Amino acid sequence: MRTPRAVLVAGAVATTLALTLAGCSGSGGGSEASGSSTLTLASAVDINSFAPADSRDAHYVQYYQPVYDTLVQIAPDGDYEPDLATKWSYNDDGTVLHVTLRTGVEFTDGTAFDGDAVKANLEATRGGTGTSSAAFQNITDITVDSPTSVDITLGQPDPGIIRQLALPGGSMASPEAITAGTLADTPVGTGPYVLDASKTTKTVKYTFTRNDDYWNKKAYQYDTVVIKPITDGTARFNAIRSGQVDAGSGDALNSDQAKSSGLTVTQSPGPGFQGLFLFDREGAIAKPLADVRVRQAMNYAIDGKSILQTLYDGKGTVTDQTFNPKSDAYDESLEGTYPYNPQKAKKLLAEAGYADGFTLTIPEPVYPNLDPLLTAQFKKVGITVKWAQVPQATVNDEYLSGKYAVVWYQLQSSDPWQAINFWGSKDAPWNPLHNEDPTISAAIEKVQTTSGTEQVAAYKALSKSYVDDAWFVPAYFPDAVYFSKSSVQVEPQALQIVPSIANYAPAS
Amino acid sequence: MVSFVVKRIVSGIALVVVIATATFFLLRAGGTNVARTLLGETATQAQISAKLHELGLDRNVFVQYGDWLSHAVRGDFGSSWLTSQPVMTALVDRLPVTLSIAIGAVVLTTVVSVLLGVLAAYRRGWTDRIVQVLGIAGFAMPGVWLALILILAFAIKLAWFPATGYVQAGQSLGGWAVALVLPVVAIAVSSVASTAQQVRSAMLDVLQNDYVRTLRSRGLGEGSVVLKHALRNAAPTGLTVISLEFISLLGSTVVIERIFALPGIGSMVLDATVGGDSPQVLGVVVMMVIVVVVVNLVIDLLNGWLNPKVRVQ
Repeated sequence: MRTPRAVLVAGAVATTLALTLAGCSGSGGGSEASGSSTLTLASAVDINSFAPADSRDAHYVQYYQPVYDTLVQIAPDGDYEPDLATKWSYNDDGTVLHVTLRTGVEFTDGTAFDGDAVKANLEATRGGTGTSSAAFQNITDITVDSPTSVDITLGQPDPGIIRQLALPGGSMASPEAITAGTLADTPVGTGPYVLDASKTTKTVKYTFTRNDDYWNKKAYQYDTVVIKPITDGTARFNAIRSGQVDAGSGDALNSDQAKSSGLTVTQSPGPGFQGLFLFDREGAIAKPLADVRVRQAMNYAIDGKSILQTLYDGKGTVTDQTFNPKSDAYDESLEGTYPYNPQKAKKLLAEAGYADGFTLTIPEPVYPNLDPLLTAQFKKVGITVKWAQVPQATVNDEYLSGKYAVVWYQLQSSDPWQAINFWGSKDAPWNPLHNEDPTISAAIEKVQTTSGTEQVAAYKALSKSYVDDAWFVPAYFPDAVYFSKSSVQVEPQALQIVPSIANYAPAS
Repeated sequence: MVSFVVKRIVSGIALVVVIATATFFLLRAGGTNVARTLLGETATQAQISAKLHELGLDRNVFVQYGDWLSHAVRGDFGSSWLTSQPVMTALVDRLPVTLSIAIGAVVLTTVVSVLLGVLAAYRRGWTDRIVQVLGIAGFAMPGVWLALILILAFAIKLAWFPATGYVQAGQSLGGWAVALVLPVVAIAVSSVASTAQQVRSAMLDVLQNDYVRTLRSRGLGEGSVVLKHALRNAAPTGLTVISLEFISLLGSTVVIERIFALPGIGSMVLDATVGGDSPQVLGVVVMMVIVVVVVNLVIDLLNGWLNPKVRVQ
């Protein structure tokens, strides 16, 4: 029996250690001082550059919105509202956008916001690498009529330009900072918050403190906004669940767990549609796809509802069309064009001369649990799927390489004009084989050259063309799922995957 | 001894160059398009090409290698293509995080495996059997699964520890320690399992030696015999295993840092590799090889100090 003294000493040390650590465990609490209100968000992405010229949208908007204003802002329901621009209107042929600017606004470095600032920003973004840069190529000239009014000349009528001016690419940064080339790390805008460099560590935590001179302070309820990039979905969910952050994007399949942890689950129609992109409508790689009946058969063969159930627990909107249910281009009457009907699919295939079916090579989708569903659903109508291995890291380039006739993917379809130029027109980047159809091209031109109710009708006609010609096999729009603590009130943003920064408020 | 150290350093440098070169060409062969990672799926081909040109990726691969090497030997590893942070800054910021986890795991492994190994070897019987079974169980448990269970139980349900994140030791020593508990336990379990077995075997061997009997017959207390003399002789095996464990623990940090959202080298290297961020990956590789070479050297020197028989003359 060893000396009791050694045991006692060891015991005492162990107990002290345990008590100290227990006392130090401040888990679940906020790290900011009490008294001022702080909103801590988890983001699914990390920002690379704060320069609007390099900005992206979707999840990235939350990084730009605190420090920058845009000319136009988007209300939670999707309406365009004044921000730094108070009025805007087109000329007769839609090639000149006349914008009236807000007065009395200054950048946080003291530079005045005026027409020259707008010109400097639009030119910088036009020459940049961001999502809006391609769209801004259509801006051929910016004329500064006065400090409070600007004329933006467009090469062609552009139904999407207002939206582009409301996205991070339309952010207004201080012209001095643009010239100095320092915006990537040090954003200087007119926005509700300022980036606090002392409390910011790249890739770990970004702290935005209130800009006391902001012209619309009451729209933003929190004094401090902290964004933590947590790209791993599990880690992000755990951070929200354990209370380390107030809110963040979630996975539809975790919604039930989130609710039982006391979190609020906000669901809204997502900005992207998922389904088959039939790149090879002319049959260069997969001959059968040249026949519209084959493409229509594929639409009948796919059961979007069951796939949505498996992948997203049913959280989403099953659809036959490619424009977002929340957009003006959505046509309720198009739903039901292709109900799930394997018999009809087989009949159409037989009519097209493929009674014995055919083999189709599809690259492995990035979504788990999808292969067996697609294999089974296609097999039922006689189409044998051959899955091609594609490394996850090179997915986008592989899909766009022109090797594949068909891919299953999800692409943005929020603003209809942006969507058309993304995957729906002859020169769209996600139409890698540059398929063209005269009806569709004419319909796109009609959209471009009309406005108001005529344009809405033109969008719907275009949508009908995509559907009738079976250019795609749309399955569903997955919902944007967002988790938040019950102490935070969150309003979802239409056509955006995450809520805008102005949409958060302390729960009353 | 000096020539021993010098030889090891020279071979260490050669190792760094070989591994860095292999990594460089492997990354290029992998075909990941960093411009696509940066600009997203909405980018046009023109934008992608412009970005590739900006990063110098449209040049001949050997020219790119020569460029990187000529800067690297001067200590200039460039900037990350994905985060624009200088590579060295990111490494210096993140290394303490990864080392905290790896060293914490090594310390925990050493303490617990020595305890279990010595107990099992000395007591035999039931104690030994329990330790062996625990060893197999610990070894078979996937670290990721264990991490998730620990988070669910101790961070979410009980809220004793944070579920994610790292606290700087400078800001709060207690907070730093508490935030490390779950990650360290998660990766240490399988390492304890295998190291305890090694310590147990080594101790069993040593305790059977004649000199142990002699020491006992001389009247030396059990504690002194087992802990001072026998353990010291079993130490070289243990130390070797621990140094190997340290290296494998460094590898485990890649996944563990992801799960716990710890801003260490592991989480960064995963994103950098998948994203095609060559300067960052190369910076990490060079640093890690240097760390491993240094650790091996230190362990060998320690072995030499503990056990004169293995010293090189």
